[in-house]
Amino acid sequence: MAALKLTNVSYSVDGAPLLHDISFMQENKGVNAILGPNGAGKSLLLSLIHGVIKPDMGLVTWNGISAQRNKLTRGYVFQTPIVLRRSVRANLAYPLTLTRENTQDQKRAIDEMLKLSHLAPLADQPAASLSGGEAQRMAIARALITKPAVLLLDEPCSNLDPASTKLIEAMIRTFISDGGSVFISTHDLAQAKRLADVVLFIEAGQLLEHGPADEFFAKPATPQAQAYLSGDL
Amino acid sequence: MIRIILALLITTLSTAVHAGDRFITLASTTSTQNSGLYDYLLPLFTAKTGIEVRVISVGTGQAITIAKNGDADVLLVHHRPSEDAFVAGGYGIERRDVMYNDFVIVGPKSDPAVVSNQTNASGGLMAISETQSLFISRGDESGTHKREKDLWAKAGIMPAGNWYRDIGAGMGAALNMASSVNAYTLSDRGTWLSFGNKGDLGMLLSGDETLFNPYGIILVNPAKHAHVKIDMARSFSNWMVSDEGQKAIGAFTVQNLQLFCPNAHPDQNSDAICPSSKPRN
Amino acid sequence: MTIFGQAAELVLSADAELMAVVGLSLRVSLTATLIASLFAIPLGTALAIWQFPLRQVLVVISTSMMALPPVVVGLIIYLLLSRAGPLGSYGILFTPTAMIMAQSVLIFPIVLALTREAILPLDRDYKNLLDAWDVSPLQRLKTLIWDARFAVVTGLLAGFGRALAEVGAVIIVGGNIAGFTRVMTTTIALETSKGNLELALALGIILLSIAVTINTAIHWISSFGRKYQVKR
Repeated sequence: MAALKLTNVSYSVDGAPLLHDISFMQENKGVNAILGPNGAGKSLLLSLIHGVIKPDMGLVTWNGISAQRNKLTRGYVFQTPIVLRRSVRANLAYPLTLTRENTQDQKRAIDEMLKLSHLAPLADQPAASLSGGEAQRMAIARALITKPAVLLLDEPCSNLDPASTKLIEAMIRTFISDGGSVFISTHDLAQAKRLADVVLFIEAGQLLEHGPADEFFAKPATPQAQAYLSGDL
Repeated sequence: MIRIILALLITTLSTAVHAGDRFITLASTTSTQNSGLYDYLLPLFTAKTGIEVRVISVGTGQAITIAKNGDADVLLVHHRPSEDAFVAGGYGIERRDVMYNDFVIVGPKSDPAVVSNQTNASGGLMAISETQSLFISRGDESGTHKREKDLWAKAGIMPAGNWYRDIGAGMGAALNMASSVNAYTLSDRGTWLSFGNKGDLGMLLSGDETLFNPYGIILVNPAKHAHVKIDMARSFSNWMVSDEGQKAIGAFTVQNLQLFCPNAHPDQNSDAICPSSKPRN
Repeated sequence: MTIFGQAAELVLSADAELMAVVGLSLRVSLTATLIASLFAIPLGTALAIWQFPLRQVLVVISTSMMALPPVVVGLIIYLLLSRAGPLGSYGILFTPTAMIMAQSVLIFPIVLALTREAILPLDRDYKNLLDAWDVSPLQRLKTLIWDARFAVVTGLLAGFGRALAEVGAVIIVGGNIAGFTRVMTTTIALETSKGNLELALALGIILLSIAVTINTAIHWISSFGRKYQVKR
């Protein structure tokens, strides 16, 4: 079974432990929400999962292969979208040049993604001219264009208006219904409730809960999670 | 990217092809080049022999260094002691007299030091220093500057003071400055004649033998530098001292005045009053 | 003043000899710019994006090289190419090739520094994204150079302008041979030394108009590039 596995993963900066001895295994399906208060280490955990950061101790593997490898089989989207100084179309095309897709396939994939992200009318605009929501949609489309099995989203909807958030959630649902899986960090509990199948709750660098989303929201096991859900943490 | 590299190669190669032509390199002095002599003379030689002559015109000292390093095939300069040292050092062979021109003292037409009353250079310089009239010195260790220092020494004067200005520049710059501050200076006749911006300057003293300026032609020694094109260089040297070359040198004029006096065969030279800037028709 | 009139007349007459001098100037300086860029652009980018041993030393050296007077560069190339020097046997002293070499060396640090400056902010923007894709080093160089191309070309033109206006190096290694290695700046120096100010000024006018053209191009190109920059 395709799965993400973390074994005794720790990470610290200047001696201060930011993540401590995290171990879990998660099957590659559905939406997995990483929840926790600010500074809990959500973004850091996503970076470790993707393999852009190496843990000080422990192992991160995807299907038994180190996360350091095959990064193009996963799509990664940053909290603040990073746009290449090119047109929207060229932004979408860029990852395909990395996978050496042929021109015909590239064109088809780009058109498909423009449609999915509702950016077709802006295709030939400089990406820098997009609004925050448009830029984030482009970033997600750009992450999806290589047909990854997993999408990693780091607070994709912070600072976005409800309409933009809705469009992005639609993109996520389409990806899931096509068989993809998502890891998303968010501090928007309503969004987590709408999307999540599984919740990973971390606090102060520790993984405290890992289980089905409905159970987590109905009766959280740890006092920290209870406090977090009631807005006291 | 590959296209750019190819274009570069082609450009560079096209220069290399040039280098394969029949040519020699002549190290010479700025004043000779500036007079326009080579523009007149060299096409005649090239037309006859098919050998192109590339002239590097720099100060006498640098010209000799270039020749010493083997970066030229022939040397044509005007400083006899340096020329003799060059040959004595084994760097050059077959030195020959070719021609001479002369230096002149120019200054403001009002002539406050009355230089024009003097009959020789020493007298002229003495008059300038006694009246503390402004004098511009090249101060660049060029052939002209070296001659100027010789002349001061000959006159028994150590020029110093507010009136003596050492500017460390070329002849044209020195003349420009002399013209703008109404000063005296020592110039070669060629540069003076072709100098456009005369202002109130005039030629005040010339014709004294101590102002004569002989040129010698020397082949770079192939024993020192095997790559030297000795045959073509020698045919150039031979042509310069041949009747044809000597006549051509004598026939060259600036503003209708003869500049250089051929003297390869002084006994045959019938132009007794050379150089006197005698008008030509 | 009549001298300006005479100079303008010379420019307009498009005298063949004058045009040959202008042509050689452009050819030598363009080739030098291309050669310098071939090395300076990738190296400048590498210095901007990678930490490696001696990187700081290289940055300091290349920046200091910008302060080198052209005459010194000319002298060094002269000593290398002279028959008495290590590369003497090739016989390229006093040829346009020697001038191209000198100018390449002269503008290399300029193109390098300006490339580095153009790439630095772009790399700050792109680094995380390119890391997330595991973009290979070569691909990374290509991406950054391409997306910074407007700023990089600006640096390239600055280098070209410097090469074109430079006189000290080319006069030493080229020898200012009439019809062979005589370029605009060496002609200006020569004609000025002869007191022939009209021709010197005419060439000065041509040089100036080329400089104006280059700077207009720089201005235009960088305004084009700004369109693609994120406004924040």
